[in-house]
Amino acid sequence: MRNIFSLLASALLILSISSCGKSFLEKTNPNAVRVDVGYTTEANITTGLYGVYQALRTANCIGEGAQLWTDDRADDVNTTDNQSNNGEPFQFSAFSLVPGNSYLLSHWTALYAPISRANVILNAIDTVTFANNATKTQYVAELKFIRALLYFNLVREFGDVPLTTEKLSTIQQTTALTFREKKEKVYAQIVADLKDAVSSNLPVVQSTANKGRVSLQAANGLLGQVYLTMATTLADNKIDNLNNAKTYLLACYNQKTFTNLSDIPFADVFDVTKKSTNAEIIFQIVYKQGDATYGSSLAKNNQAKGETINSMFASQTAGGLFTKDLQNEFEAGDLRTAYSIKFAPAVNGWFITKFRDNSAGATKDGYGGNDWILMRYADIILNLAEVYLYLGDNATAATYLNMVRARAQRPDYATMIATDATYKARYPTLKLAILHERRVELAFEHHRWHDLTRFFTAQELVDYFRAKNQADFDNSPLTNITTKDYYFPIPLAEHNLNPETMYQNDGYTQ
Amino acid sequence: MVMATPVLAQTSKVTGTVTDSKGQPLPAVSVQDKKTSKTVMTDESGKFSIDAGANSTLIFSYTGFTKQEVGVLNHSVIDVKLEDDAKTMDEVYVGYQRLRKSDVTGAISSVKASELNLSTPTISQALVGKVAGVQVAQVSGAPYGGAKIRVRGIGSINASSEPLYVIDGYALGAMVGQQGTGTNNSSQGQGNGGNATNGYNAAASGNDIFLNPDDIESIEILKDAASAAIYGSRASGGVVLITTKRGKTGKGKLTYDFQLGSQSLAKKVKLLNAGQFTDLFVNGRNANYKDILISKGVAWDDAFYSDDNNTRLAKSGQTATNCSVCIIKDLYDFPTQKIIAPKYNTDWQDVLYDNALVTRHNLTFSGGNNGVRYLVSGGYLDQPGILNSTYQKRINLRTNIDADVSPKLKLSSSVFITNTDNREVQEGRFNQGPILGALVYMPVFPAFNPDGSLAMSYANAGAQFDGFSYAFQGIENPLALAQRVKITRKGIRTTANTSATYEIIKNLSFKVNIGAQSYKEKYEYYFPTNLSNGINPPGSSQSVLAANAAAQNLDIQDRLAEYTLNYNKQFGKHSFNALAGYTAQQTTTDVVAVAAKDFTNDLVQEITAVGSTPGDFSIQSNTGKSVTTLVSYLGRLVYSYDRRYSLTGSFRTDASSRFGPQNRWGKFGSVSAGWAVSNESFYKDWLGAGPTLKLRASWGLTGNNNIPNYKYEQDVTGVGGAVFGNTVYTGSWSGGIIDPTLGWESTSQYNFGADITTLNNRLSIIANYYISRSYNLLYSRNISAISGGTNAAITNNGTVSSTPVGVLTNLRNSNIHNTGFDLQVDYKAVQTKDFNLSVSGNITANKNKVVSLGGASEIQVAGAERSYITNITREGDPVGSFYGVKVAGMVRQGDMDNVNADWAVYKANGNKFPPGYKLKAFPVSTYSTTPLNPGDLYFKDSNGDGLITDADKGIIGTPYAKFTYGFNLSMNYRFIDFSASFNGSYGNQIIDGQDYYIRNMEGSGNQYAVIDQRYRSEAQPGNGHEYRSSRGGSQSNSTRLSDYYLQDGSFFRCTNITIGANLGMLGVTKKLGLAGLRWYAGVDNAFTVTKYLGYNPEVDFNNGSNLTPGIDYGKYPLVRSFNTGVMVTF
Repeated sequence: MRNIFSLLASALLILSISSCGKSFLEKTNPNAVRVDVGYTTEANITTGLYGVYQALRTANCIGEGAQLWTDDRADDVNTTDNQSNNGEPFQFSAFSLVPGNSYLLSHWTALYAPISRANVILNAIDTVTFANNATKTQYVAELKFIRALLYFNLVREFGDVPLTTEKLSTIQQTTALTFREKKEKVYAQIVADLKDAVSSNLPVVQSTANKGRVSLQAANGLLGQVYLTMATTLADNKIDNLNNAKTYLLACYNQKTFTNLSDIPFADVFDVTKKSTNAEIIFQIVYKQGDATYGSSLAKNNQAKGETINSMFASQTAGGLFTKDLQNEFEAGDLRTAYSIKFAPAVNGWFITKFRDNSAGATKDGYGGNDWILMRYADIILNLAEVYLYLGDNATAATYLNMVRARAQRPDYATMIATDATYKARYPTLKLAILHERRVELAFEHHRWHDLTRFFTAQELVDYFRAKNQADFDNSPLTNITTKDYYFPIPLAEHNLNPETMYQNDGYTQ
Repeated sequence: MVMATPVLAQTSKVTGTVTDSKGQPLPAVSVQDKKTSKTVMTDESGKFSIDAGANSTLIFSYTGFTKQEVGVLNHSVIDVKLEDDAKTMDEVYVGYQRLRKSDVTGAISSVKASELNLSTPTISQALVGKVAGVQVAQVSGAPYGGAKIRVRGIGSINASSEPLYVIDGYALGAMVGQQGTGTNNSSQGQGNGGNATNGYNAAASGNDIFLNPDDIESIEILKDAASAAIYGSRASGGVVLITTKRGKTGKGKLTYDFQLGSQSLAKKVKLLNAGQFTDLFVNGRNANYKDILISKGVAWDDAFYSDDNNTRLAKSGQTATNCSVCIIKDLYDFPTQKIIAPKYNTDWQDVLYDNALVTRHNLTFSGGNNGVRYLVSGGYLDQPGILNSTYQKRINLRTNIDADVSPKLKLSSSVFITNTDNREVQEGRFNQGPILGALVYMPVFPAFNPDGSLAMSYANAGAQFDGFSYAFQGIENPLALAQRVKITRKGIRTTANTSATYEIIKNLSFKVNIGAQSYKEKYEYYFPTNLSNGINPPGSSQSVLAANAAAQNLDIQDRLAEYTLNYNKQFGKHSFNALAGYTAQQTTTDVVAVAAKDFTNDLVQEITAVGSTPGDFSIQSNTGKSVTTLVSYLGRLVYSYDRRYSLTGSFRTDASSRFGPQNRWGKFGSVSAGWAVSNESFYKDWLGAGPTLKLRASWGLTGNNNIPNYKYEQDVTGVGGAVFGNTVYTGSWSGGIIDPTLGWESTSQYNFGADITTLNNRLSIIANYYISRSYNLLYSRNISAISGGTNAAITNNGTVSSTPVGVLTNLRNSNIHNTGFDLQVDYKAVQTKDFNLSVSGNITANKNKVVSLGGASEIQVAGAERSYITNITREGDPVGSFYGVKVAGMVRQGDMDNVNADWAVYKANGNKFPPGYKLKAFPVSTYSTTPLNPGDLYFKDSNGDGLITDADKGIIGTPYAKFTYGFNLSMNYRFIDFSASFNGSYGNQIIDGQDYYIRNMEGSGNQYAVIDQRYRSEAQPGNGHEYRSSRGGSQSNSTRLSDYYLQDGSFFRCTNITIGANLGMLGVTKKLGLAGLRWYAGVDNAFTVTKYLGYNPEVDFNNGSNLTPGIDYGKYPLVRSFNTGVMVTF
């Protein structure tokens, strides 16, 4: 009964509260701070910056699980289940992607999340006083790098995309910017952001404790890759773009802290104990060993039943699968073959072993410490080979190609062409040889789809796929691919916002 | 009526007897000498004795009866007969005050306790089929579930259409959910809808807050906007006013009720038996094997059907851990290609469901004298569920006191306490909920081991057979799931309400009402290590890793203050009734929800057994506080002239803390008029003997504010970690953009009605027709991802699919129309001394149409499994119409040459047809990557481009009934009474989301029995409707959502039959010293006539969501209950 009296007594209080009128009605969220007061100090801005980095980690964005939009889409990995999840993931590998695919929408949204977070912090940072102004300029460079990185992914996967560098706060403002900007303009913004980054006070190499943050190496490397892609995918300024690509890729290359790539054993690149000190790794998303939330699950997920090479985790599945087509690509005797893939007798199939952490620290639950490498020197070196190839300097191009082959203890390009008939038949041009090298060197690192769309035009891509052997592709019919598949469709929900300004990519119905 | 005997003395003793109109003595009537104010009460036999002056006057008063003044006039004996107070009998509670029925000009349905089906455990269920214009659907048979109530169609898309509940004048405050979102009165948590899985959702069914149905005096439902407008921004879904019983002046009366019920599954779903299932299983595996080999370019030979599992693996490229071409060797003789009869034939529904014995006790003590009336009641309900392990145990306590402190001052107070103790079960997908599990789980597996323990992990590891894993649905013994996953909810709700009414001057009274409600709840969830995890058996490292627990504390404090002035005046033929009021209400909610994982065993099934890593313990996203406030001014004026014309106007203005500062105050109101035609002098007996005819017309404007709190400010809401080096750093980010002009949504409604009684009051008809328009719809409008918003995630297999990014706003210029009529007929067919028979019926029809979405894109929603679109909301069609492609027919062997010819052209032209190409066979589905086969479905190509794409989708059906109806029959012969109630729905359809698993022809789980009539071959073409069987590979074409998956949702149900006997009339009762004794027996949900294949055609998987109505998916099945009980009055 006392309980009830106190209830009623508290109700009487409402008399006095409600008479205050305005304050009785104006309630703000007790669990969160308003965005305009949330980013007003250096400390808050710092958490905001970390929030931008956090957005990169998801599988829908560019984290370690982002396989569906990259390797599944390409010829390396195949989703064969067309029943689960209504067959939606299957659409990526079967080239039957429809605009209404909800995974595609998630991907699109996740690519924009770091961009909009970065825009909010960039908008707020100007008015905030930092203890040391150098910190502020570094933050700005990091934010612009990340914004550029995500727009680079968007423009490569979707073509023209909405472009905003503003902090949005109203529906009207957002609606006004909901239109597809020409890809040239998107590239111009990417270049502008990255030029700011390369001329900033970012450290050349991040310290061990700061691994995972943007460095000058990364900014130069990315800008070079952007120019290279612009050179092969945009109609104009091809030579200028190639020269710029050369400039920045070389700038990145010259910032390396090792002498020869061969000095760094291939296995070391993926060695969890060396991930923060390995000189080859330029930019990575860091995963924390033994941590259920921040650990990597690649080693565990890829592991097949009955195996222990990847992880202490006892898998019951077939593990990380890939196509027969990719398996055929691995040269016999290539040390990368043995490191990257393995046959599992228990499931009578091959699985991915490139990412391993079977140490006790990762526990039997498989919380690996594998960092997700977004950029490393083998990638940059092969990009340089590409640039020299397009500039007509095949000799220099082959030099760079051979650096990567040398580390894998494979004969150089000239030797292979001269002595290996199979190699020569499969990769009759230097261009195809570079593409082959990238496929093997960077297998399962989510580069393949972007490589294919950079190396080939839409029609070339279709021809390239159709020339392959269906038997190497399980249930995904190769005949499905058409020129429309060069780009993803604009997600239906985004297209519907304004069918005119958010026009659909060619070849997609609705 | 007074009879008196004269006396002579100046002051003398006056005695007499007070009786009611039937001559029954009335005890505890107050008898007052008007001159001296001396008061006595009548005794048990209605007798009184008072010393009174010869010229004095005695006042006889008794609640519920008209006060009578009798002059003593020298009489020594005065016998008085008091008349029932017709005024109070004829009053209706309309919100904030009672009005004479004759003055009511809106559409209000009133249900008395005697009309309710009181053998049901909740009030909402007791209302099923009783009220015209109000759809009460029994959507769950869970012991802790209730019914879904919808008043007059759907006028909203995002906000809830749940009506507002007002209990004894206390409007329930802002509802709870994730920080005040949603509309539920108890919380959601892990395992019941709180973590992106769809389980039992308290939001849908707890809103009558488990009042004891035995405590109900009457229920009024304000249906039209004019009546509801007095509740302003919360009234768009209609208002349910619940009035509970109160004490009456008189000797204390003790009543004891006892009810015993036996509950069982109301309907068993017809599924394949083990033999039929084996046939499907073998058939599907072989078909898939063939499909795969053909697509690999292998020349098929029927001899391959004899390939053993290892050969099948090698040829198809599948893995032993997930083999969809392998066949259990106990079920198939490979060399002869013959099926082997299965060893087990388990009926999983029999395993999961039991009879449940429900007991209910109820004790009420009430009475009153000296101006104080009281009622105390206590109830206890022990209700086990038919699903093994579930239950609700409930205690209801209620006390109320009414006191006439002085002729001017009246006090009234009530206290309710409801204590609930639930064991719940997760619903929805089979791997989470046993309900769908019992339909999907393979009948060829045993439920128990020979030693009586649960047989586990049969579907997964396959180790029991030959070590292969057969790509069955990842599922565990449903009984184990029900018993081992522990979900409990313990809640205590205390409501206290006190009001004082003071008559300032004659006809003008002032009322203060102070109320408070407190609800505290503990919700707990435990998922054990001893259930299998995917293909990993119980106790495996993966299963141990999957074990987790959650605990959640909820605290809601609601406070209400209401001040009203009431003025009543009658002069001549004019009558006025004016009400003015001010109310303030504040609801605070506080949720703390935590989750724990890394359990090593099941010895301690609490969050305290959490693992040692810091990440093992986490705060759930619904943790948080919120405050919602509402301030309102309201007024109502009722004027009537000569009981012929009446006019009502009402006004309310609400300010809610939920709305943006730019749009905080909403104005609502109504005007209505009534014309009692039958009171006109020109009106003769037009409609039979002793008729009344009243015509009514009204317009009203109401609002809906059922949205989350703080949606008008952009907050830094995101918290997560980024890792640099080896350290995790906390990051933050802001949520998406917001709309600072956010406000309520509005519904404007016209109502036209007629009330007719005739045949000397034996026939009464109430009819209403309404037109309503809802606008400024609250909607999470799609917006580009550039806004930084996130999309609601649907997590599947590691990757996350999702819904579009949205921003909660009002769609200006939006418009949803509802029109409809409802008709209520009551007929007292026979009225004699010994035999009475009455019938009543009601019918309701509503048409819903989205006229405009105010510029928002059409809304497509996946309402059942994962991401396939089931419902669409777009201009020109009803909200949440079923959306998909239409089946045009089934491919037969004879079509194959043409099918193959088309396919070749299609492939050769880069997956399209060249311009002008004329199809030889059927349109090619772009959803499918393999060509059609005999027994596959093909679809209607509505745009004629030869391809089946999203452009060919359209409205394929409606979740809304053409009409719903109910009727009741009651009769009594002397002391025996009998009643029967029925309800039904006609013309609506259902998408059975369960079909995704139990009608997919895969043989990866059990199927509806009708699948036995599928296409097998040209020799065995089946019923022409069920397509061919295949486990994967080629079926993506047939499993797209099409009208194949639509089912007729019409039904006719007998909700209750009761027979009772009033033994109080028998001498034996009186000998026992009892004032009354009643015995009854009955059955709830006696039978349902429907074509629907699932458990219950009243489906509501999405818990009242407006955008995805008509979807079924693993909900708790309905129960049939045989009840018997006694009611004893002392």
